[in-house]
Amino acid sequence: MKLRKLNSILHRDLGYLFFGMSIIYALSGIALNHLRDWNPNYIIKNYTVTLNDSVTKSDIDKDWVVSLLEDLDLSKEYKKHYFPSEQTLKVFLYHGNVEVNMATNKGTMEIIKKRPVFNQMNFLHYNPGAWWKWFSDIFCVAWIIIALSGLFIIRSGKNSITGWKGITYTVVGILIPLILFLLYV
Amino acid sequence: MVLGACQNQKTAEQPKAVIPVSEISDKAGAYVDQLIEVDGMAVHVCRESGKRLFLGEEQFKVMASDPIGKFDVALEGSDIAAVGYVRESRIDENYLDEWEKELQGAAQVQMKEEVHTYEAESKGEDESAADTQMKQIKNYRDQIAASEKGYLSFYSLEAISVTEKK
Repeated sequence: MKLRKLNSILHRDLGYLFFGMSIIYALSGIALNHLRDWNPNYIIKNYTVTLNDSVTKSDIDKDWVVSLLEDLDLSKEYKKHYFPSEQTLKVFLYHGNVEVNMATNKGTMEIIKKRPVFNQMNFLHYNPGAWWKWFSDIFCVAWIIIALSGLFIIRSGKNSITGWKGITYTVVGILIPLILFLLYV
Repeated sequence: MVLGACQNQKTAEQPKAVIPVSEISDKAGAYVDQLIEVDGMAVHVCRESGKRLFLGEEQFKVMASDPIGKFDVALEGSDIAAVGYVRESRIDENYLDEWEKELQGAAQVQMKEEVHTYEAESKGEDESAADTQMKQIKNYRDQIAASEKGYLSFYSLEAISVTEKK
C-alpha cells in the first residue's frame, strides 16, 4: 500500500473513531475555560427566604424544618439539618440547601440541578477511572496522528503542506500559542 | 504483570486509623502521608470544580484524587467515610510575603490550594477577591505570631475513595 494512501486511511478512520471523543473534550474544554463565568456542571438558582416568626436554636427540630420546607413547596426535599453557628441554621436538601440567619430571620435558598450534557462530559474530562484514562491516552495519541496525517492529505498545489496556503496556515497555527506563551511568561 | 501486582498491593492497603472529623484537627499531624479514614458529614462541595469537599463543622478539606475525579454536590448533607492520605501544607511568613506580592501585582489572583478553605465562602464572601485574600493573609500573620512554631499547618485528605454511609 502506498504511504499516501495509508496516510489518508489513517486520517479518515481515526477521525471517524474519535469523533465522539473530540466533541467531548472540545465541549468540556470550552466549559472549563469559562469556569469563572458560569458553572458548567450545575444549574444553580438562588432565592431569598424570610421567616414569618422569630426562632431560636432550641425551637428547631426535624418537624420544624420539614414544616418550613412545606411552606417553600419543598416538603419531600429534606435531607438533614445542622447549625454551623449559634445563629445559623443550614438545611440540606436533595437538590440544594437552605441557610437561615436566626438573628435576622432572613436566609438564602440554593436549588441545584445537574446541567445536562456538560455535567456528564466534565465528569469524563476529569478522568473518572483507569479504563477512561487508557482510552483517553489512546485518543490523544490518535489526535497526534490525525493532526500529522492531515498535513499530507493534499498532494500538491497551494493547499498542500508545501503550498503557500498550507505553510502559512500551519505556521500561524503554531505561532499563535507560541506568542501567547511568550506574552504570559 | 509487575504493574498489576503493584496495583493490587496498593488497593489492599488498609487505613491506619478511622478518625471522626471532630477529632481530626488534633490527630491529623500524627498521620501525615499515611492512609486513614475520616468519618463525618459533608457540609460543602465546591460548585465549580467539584475537586474539594469539606467535612463537619471543622470544615476539614478532602481533595478528590484521580481515581475519584470530582465530588458530586449531592453528597452535601450525607454522612461519608473518606479514605485517603493526609497531606500537610506549611504556611510561613515567606509564603505570605510571596502571596501578598502576587496580590499587589495582579488584577486577579487564583485562590491558592494550600490555603483554599471554606471559611470565606461560608460567610458569604467572595473567596477569590483581593480584599478577602488580604484579610486571610493578615489573619494568618496574626496566627503565626501567636504560635511557637513560626508556621501554620494546614491538613487535608487526598481521598482515594468516598463512601456514603446509609
